[in-house]
Amino acid sequence: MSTSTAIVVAGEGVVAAAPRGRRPRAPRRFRMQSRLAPLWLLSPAGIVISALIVAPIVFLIFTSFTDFDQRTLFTGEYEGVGLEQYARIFADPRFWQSALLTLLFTAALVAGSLVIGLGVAHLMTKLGTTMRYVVTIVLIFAWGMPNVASAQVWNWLFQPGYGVVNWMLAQLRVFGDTTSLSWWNSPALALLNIWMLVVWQAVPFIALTTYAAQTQIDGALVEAARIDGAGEWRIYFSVILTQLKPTILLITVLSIIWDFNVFNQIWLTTQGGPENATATLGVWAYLTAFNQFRIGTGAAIAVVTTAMLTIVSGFYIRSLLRSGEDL
Amino acid sequence: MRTSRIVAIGAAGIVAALALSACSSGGSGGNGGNGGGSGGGAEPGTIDAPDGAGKTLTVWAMTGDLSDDTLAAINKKFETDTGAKVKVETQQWQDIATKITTALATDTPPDVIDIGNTQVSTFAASGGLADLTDYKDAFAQGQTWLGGLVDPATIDGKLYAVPSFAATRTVIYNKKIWADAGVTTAPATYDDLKAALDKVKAKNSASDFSAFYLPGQYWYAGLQWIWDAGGEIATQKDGKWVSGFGSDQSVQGLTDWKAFQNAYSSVASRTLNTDKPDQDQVFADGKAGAIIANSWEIGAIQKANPKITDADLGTFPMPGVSGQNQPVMLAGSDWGIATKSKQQDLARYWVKLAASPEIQNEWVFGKDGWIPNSTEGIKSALDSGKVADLTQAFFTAAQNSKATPASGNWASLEDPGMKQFFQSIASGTKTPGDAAKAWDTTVDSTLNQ
Repeated sequence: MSTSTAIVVAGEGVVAAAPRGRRPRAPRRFRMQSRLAPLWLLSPAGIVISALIVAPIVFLIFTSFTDFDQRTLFTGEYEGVGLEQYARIFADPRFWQSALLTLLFTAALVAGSLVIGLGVAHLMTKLGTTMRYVVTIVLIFAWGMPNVASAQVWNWLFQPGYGVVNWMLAQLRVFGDTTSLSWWNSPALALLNIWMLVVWQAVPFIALTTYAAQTQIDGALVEAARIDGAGEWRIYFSVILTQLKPTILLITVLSIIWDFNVFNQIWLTTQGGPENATATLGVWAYLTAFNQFRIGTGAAIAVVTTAMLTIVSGFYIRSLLRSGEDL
Repeated sequence: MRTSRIVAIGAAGIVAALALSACSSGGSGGNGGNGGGSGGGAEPGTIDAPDGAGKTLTVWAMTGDLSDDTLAAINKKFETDTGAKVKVETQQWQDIATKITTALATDTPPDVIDIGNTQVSTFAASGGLADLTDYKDAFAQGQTWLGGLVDPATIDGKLYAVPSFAATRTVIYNKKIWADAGVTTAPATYDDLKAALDKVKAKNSASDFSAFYLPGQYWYAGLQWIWDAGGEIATQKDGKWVSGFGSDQSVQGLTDWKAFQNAYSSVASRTLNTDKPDQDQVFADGKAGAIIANSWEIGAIQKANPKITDADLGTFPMPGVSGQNQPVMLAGSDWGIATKSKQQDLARYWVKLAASPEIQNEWVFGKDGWIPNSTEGIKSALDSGKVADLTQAFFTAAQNSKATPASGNWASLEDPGMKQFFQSIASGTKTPGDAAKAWDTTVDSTLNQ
């Protein structure tokens, strides 16, 4: 999923909803016209969204109540099976393992990318102009790389036998001879490896956004804190982070959504292995729907995943709205 | 408060949208008409050149299967006879089952598809490929197809694809590396082979050198040890499939395979497949004394390192612990026609040409060195005296061949399942017995669903 689409969509939601309550009451004769105007303005985006997002979602939910499979794709035949697909996945121990893995891995990804992203943003405020440009360009390159390509590069970097990273680790002489180390053969290393890949590409967006927000903080606040005798750490945690709170909340919500749905980086490196140790809900849904072609079951997994994600994000969305109202 | 509720609904919608848009829908159902039917006026069961002026036939070929020259020879004849054009689209193997399914489900699928013989039953069983039973004799053109190619394409007595070519794997070794280690004759038994490899290993001590490069995920090769020990992938009992990996014979075969792999192949190779890094490249670079490979890989090796000539290479069928040559997987491909193709008659004619004795003898065998699709073809190839010394071993190995279970659900076990199963044994994550027991459960439930 591309970052830019998400921002545009998120932005639209806020813009679309926000003005209603605040708009000054219009003179009576213009009322009809001004009520319809937002609809007209929204319709192009609305049509695209319904065709490309809403319609597939409706179809997906519908599919999850049927026995849609490979035969259906070719012949169009299927039967409704009610809640059977849901009963099947909830009875499968793999579902609970996969769900737990997804939650923990998402938490690790979000925490990792936020901490590193905030750190880089703070670093950029301390850098000279030239270095700041260099860092910005490097970040944009990492961000701009399609994740399919970066996963491929990762495969080369960590390849047993010929991988450059393995060779460099061996040169450190700390971990022993790592030349033939297979990162994707052990659950812990496989997860660490994918974590690094995802975080590496998530940091630029977070760093650049928070850097922009951090430059907007009134210098007087920092100065006042310093006069009051606060140390640098205290200033960062009490003044700067407090001011960044709205930005951090927004980024957290987006990160949760993106990291929950990470697929390419897992599929292109481990294919969910070894022994399903990296098969998050997304990978499991793909394996079910497009490897075993039990498409109905796969659709049910996707629906449950979305429900879980909505609940997890609900808390953050509430906080986001609260902080929005304070402004 | 109202504002926030509306925003909340909108925001929740966004979450749902973002979450779900990651899952692309699997294409619309559509109604699968029995496209085409038999061409107007033609006698039932015959395949004559239809008039195809102004039409274009789309053919999906797999990378590494028939060479461009062979495809061009088929296309040339086809274009002369029908006046239609042919568009060949070459596909990569990664996630191929998913790719073919998606393609067959669209309303404008490729007309003709090259499908690996181990995967063809999936598409045959599910209605993606057109029923060709009525034309069987016209396609066969008097030949007897090889069982390993036609059996998986036959479900409940109906034919869904036409054999294209066959292949087997044998050992390819670097004569120079072996001679430097003092081995000058090809081994005839498993013990001879191990003795030879011990010498090669002693002579070359580099950590990335493999006396016998055998990647851990290379399950096509690993199966040979199971079969040699008397094990089976799965057998059918009272209409139900029973996985055979956990049998004593299979576990013995897996144990032998692991010992061989660990002893003669590099540590790095335990978790790798043949593609990354390419085993032909590894061999061409002199980092491997021997590999198990298809006949086309001889060409790939020589392309990767033009200094290696036929004289530097040797081949022999892989000897087994049992004292006989290991049974090999009969690999190869079939040509299927998409049910939804709107040019059934053109597609049938193209497939008929591809399966014809002329193309098989002159191009599939003559140019590409593949094993032809019929017993008559193999005989005529051997009689022609054109089977080169290097390819002789492939024809010998083919005489003792096996295939994967003819179940529509088999293909989904291949990738990533079989790769990860063999990897877990080679790397020592699990013992052969434990890995096989766990894998049996998956194989049973998948084949019988």
